Amino acid sequence: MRKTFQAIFLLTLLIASGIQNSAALWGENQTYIADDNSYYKFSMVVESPLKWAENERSTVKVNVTLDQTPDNVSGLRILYIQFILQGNVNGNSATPVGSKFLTVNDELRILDKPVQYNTSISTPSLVNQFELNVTLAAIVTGNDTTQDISNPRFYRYIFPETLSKDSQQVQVFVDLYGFPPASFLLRWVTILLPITLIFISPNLLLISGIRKKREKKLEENEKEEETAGGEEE
Amino acid sequence: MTTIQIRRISAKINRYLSRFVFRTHTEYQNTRAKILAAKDLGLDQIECKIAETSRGTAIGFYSKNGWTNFLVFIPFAFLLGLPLLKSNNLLPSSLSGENSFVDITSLLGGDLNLNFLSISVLVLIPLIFSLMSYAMQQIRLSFIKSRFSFFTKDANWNPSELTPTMISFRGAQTAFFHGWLFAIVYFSVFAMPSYILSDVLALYQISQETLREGVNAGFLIVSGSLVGLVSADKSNKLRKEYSRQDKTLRFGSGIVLRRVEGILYSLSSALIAGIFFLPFISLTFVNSTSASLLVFHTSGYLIAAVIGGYIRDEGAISFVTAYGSMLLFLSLGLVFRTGAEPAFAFVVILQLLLIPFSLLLIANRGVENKFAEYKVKSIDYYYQFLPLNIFVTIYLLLSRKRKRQIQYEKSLEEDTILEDDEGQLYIDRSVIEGKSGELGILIAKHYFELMAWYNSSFDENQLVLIPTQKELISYVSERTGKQPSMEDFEFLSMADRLIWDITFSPEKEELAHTEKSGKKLVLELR
Repeated sequence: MRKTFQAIFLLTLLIASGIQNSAALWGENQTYIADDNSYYKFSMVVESPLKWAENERSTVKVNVTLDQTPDNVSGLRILYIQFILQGNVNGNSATPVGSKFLTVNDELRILDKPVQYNTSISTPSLVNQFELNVTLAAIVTGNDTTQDISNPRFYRYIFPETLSKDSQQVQVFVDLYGFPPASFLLRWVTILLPITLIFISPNLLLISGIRKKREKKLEENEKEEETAGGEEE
Repeated sequence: MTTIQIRRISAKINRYLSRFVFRTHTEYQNTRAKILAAKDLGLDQIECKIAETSRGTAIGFYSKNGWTNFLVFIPFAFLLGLPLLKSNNLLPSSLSGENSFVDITSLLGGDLNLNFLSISVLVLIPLIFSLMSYAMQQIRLSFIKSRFSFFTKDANWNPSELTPTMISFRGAQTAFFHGWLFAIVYFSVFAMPSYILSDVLALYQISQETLREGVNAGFLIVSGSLVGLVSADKSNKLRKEYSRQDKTLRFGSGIVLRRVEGILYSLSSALIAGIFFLPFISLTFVNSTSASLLVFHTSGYLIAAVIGGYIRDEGAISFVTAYGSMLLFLSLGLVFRTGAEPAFAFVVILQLLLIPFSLLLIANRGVENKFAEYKVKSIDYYYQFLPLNIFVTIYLLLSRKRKRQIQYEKSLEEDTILEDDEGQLYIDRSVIEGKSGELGILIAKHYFELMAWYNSSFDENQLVLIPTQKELISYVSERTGKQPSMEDFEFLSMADRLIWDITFSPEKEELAHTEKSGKKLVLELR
């Protein structure tokens, strides 16, 4: 029985302390085909912390690996990466609540060697939970297959887990913020005071009545004493 | 001089009215008497007129002060009238607007919008309250009228009482105004000038909407239980006062059933209070709410009613303990939400400051004891933050006391007090006058007044012998409910010896002292 209680107590403590997984998580590796003839293949994986600290910036890492090219001469030219945070605002689940535009303009040529791009994005303030949508704009470069740089292809990566805001207010159980401002309290007590006075007024009335009675009695006693003393003399 | 017939019938009506737990006051005139009976405090009264006519003694029962039942309309008139005045710019700037101390319209009525629905609800609530108390007055009067003939015939009769539901409405009325006061205290921040509101918002780091939501939630959680508790306790106390014949209150079938019955009755009275209070606050102070908060609010009524029913037979201390601890524990419950919702921090601090305020609820106990001295036992003013009735009652009690004194002093000036119905003197006046002068005559008058009172406590055709001192003393203590004092005995023995002992000649100081105590004794009886 005692052990059960101890277990429940510990469990409650664990729940109360709100253990948080702040470690970053790699998403699933996804492979993309970059041209119509399947000569070019590359894969992308994104790393992000599951809990984003409130009012801070979190680092998002994108690893891009060139998997296959027709020959070593040509490669994959990454123009830019756009990070979009989507949250549920007013029932609209895909409303952008934050974004970052990362200009890369980098050409990958070596196979199987991952290239990492890092950026830091500030935590959205509007929502507590959000999705990470990473869009990569790239063209392939080769003698015959070079794509139009002004019209690149887009490769979308949706981070598989829903991210959540690590709200510091949730961690705190009790925060009384101190006493209400004096300007407010002054008026509040002034409102309360007449109500109190009205409520206890019957008692005040009685107390004053009793006091008057006593004074009257005392006066009478004094008079009686005076008259008695006069007679004795 | 009032005839013995009038005195005897008055005494009978006094006895009759006391069966209905009325407190009476009789005014005598030569051929008629007027009895004022008050059950509630001061305002609500029944008048009984007794007169000797050529065809016999006429008795009439009348209801007095019927209009006072409609006094409930006054606060609602303010509530509806102030916004009208404000919209026509008739309110002075010191009472409303940004430069005022507090905006009186939003302090009393929150965000009240005058439209057909709100006006009709705010007229309907006081209308139901006042019609209910008017109906109670009339029903009580008709009972008294119809049963009196049975009472005089010594037939078996049972004074019927008001239904418990009607009494619940009276309890709900107190709880309603109690809740209104709490709403004023909670939402007062929104009636203050905007710079104070922005101070509060800056301290708690919230927006005005969040603060309003938090205050709404805190108020709904707390007010349900407090209104329920006050309604349950007040209804139970009123029921004890009104329905002394109620068998469930007197016997019951064991402690368990009595408790269960009390709890069920409290539940009904708490829910009646909720029926009035919920539409009121949703029209005025609480402008947005969620289903879960309404569930909290309603379960507050239920939980508080169970507690109120359980402590039904306890005193005022347990009620205040229940009230204060409910505020404390609900605040403790809210404290652990303050981390997530800063507005609750504001609510919790206000609630903690209000806990000592609950001690005021027993402030009226002293007044109750004082009233017991005047033979008035009423609890209609319990838990009311504006006990108007008590002022009226104290005024009436004092004025009646003065009236009685004047009336008696007037009758002392006439010599007829020593005569019987046919104008024959009971005793030889010159003997007493010779022995002890004017003071002796006064003492004899007090003595015969006392005898007349004793005489009138018997039925019309009963022969009454001159009572012994012991019989007189026990009659007086029975009527006034006080232990006989040494002075009473001194007065009686002095009067006895003055009238019957020819050799007795007392000193002047002793006579003056005895005359005083005799007069006091007679005035207490009247």
